[in-house]
Amino acid sequence: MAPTTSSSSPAERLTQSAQALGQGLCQWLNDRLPLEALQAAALKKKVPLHKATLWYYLGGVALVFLLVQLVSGLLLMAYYIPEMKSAYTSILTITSKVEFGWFVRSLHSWGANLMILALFFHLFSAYFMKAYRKPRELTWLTGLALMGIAFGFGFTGYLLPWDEVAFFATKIGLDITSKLPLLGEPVAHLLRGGDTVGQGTLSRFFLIHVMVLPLLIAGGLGVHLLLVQQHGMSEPESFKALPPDKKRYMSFFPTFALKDAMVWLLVLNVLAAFATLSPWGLGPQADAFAPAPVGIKPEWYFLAPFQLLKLFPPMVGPVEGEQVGMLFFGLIAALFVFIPFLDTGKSKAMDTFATWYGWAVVIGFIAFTVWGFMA
Amino acid sequence: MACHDHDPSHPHAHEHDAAHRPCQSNPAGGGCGGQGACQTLSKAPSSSRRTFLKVLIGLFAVVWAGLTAFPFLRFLGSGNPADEAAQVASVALGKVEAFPPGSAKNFQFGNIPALLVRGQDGVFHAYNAVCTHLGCTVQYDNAEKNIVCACHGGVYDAATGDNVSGPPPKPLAPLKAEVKDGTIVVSHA
Repeated sequence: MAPTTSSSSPAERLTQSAQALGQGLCQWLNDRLPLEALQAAALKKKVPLHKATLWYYLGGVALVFLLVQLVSGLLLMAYYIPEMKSAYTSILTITSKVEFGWFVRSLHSWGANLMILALFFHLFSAYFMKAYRKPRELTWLTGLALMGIAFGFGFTGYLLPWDEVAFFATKIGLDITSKLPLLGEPVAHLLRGGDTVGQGTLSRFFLIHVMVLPLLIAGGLGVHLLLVQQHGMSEPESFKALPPDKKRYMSFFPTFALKDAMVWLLVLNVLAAFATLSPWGLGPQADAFAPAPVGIKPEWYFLAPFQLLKLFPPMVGPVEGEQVGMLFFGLIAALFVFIPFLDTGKSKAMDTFATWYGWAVVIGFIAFTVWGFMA
Repeated sequence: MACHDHDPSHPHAHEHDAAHRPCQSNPAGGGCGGQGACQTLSKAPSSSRRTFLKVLIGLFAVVWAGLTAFPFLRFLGSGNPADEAAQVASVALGKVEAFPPGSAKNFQFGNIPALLVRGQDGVFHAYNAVCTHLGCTVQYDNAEKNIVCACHGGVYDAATGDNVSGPPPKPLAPLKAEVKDGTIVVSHA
């Protein structure tokens, strides 16, 4: 740095003043906030380097998609009208009249699907890396809850354009909910805002989608991320078993953070490419009294249970086939919930079982999804 | 600057600029914290190539941010498409006989509130009824024979639309009122 002399150029003097100002501001904040402690903690963060390191990026990718959804959703709310007769036309207005409306809407629709895809990858990568083991059981459980909230976003958001497919998909989803034992009917009635899918449903789904679920996901994600900070990045068993001098790490700041930023940039570009090259469409407006369209199917992330349910007979003894199917899904999900307490790392048999179970679910899910597409 | 672990995957991690020195004890602030955190800002990088690259990347970041923000700003600034759809060329208000001299009517002209006044002399006048003060909708005062705004007491001349009293700074914007085949038709001035 050039010494400050009376002959320093105006540019140099300006830079020095700016730096002094910045330093002053930093010191002012430092005297009032635990900036040093935070900085010290941040600089200690490190990321293990091993064959599976790439999977560490997925949580951040899901977060980027969530942020895109929040921003694009907020923008769409400036023009969307949550009223039965106006909802559909407001979406048409957005996509055809509002400047870049088609783009913002496609970002939101594609973003939703890519977010759920990223969450699937994040969930299963954490599962197979056995990151649910002590001390990360709570991180795992909050993560599962967040996945549920994400599905809730997908389900409630899907109705809002009020087109044919959205209407019937919601009807079906709510009917499935109503078949759950005990609480099913009251919950479905509450969500539906009555006995039929109508304005009540649209208003409730809207408020759940833009207020209730965002609050829940903000809180849940806050806890989830705090826990991750608390415990650090989980290390696979093979890495943990290495002698200390063989364990390689990269610093979170600046190395991983910058690589993370690069991945986010890439992901945003992929999203923008999808939105631009394949803008999201809109079916005919919903008509409650017209028949359901032939070949109607749910979105891809509900296709596997949809296809699987088709295999169940209408009645299994005294119980409806749907309910048996729901029980089956409930058991699959329950095993995911309880896996941290079953596969604690102390039993090799449980270790192997957990891995096999995970693969069974993944392969089953993919198989049924593909089947659902082709059917 | 607080110390940080060097990155083993980058063997030349220590070839940083002078700012990333190993910790030195600072009698004033103590250790690597204290004054050190804020003093980083005052240390200039030693390599001009590094500076050039940093500035270049910074510029790219700014341009990228601008390009990214552009569609969203245009989206928000788009204005209400319903307003454009509601524009009209003219509005027919009914038979002339329905409006005796000294009568008036507030009506909708496209998406703006408008006012039709028939003076004592029988001549029709039409105005954009948005008060030029702060936007309230004005009305005809039959007793005073002029146009008034209820919000802050503005008064306009019914024959010309001129602002004659109160806070309005400008006259009411005129519309054209004419009689066609016994019907009063209002159109743009």
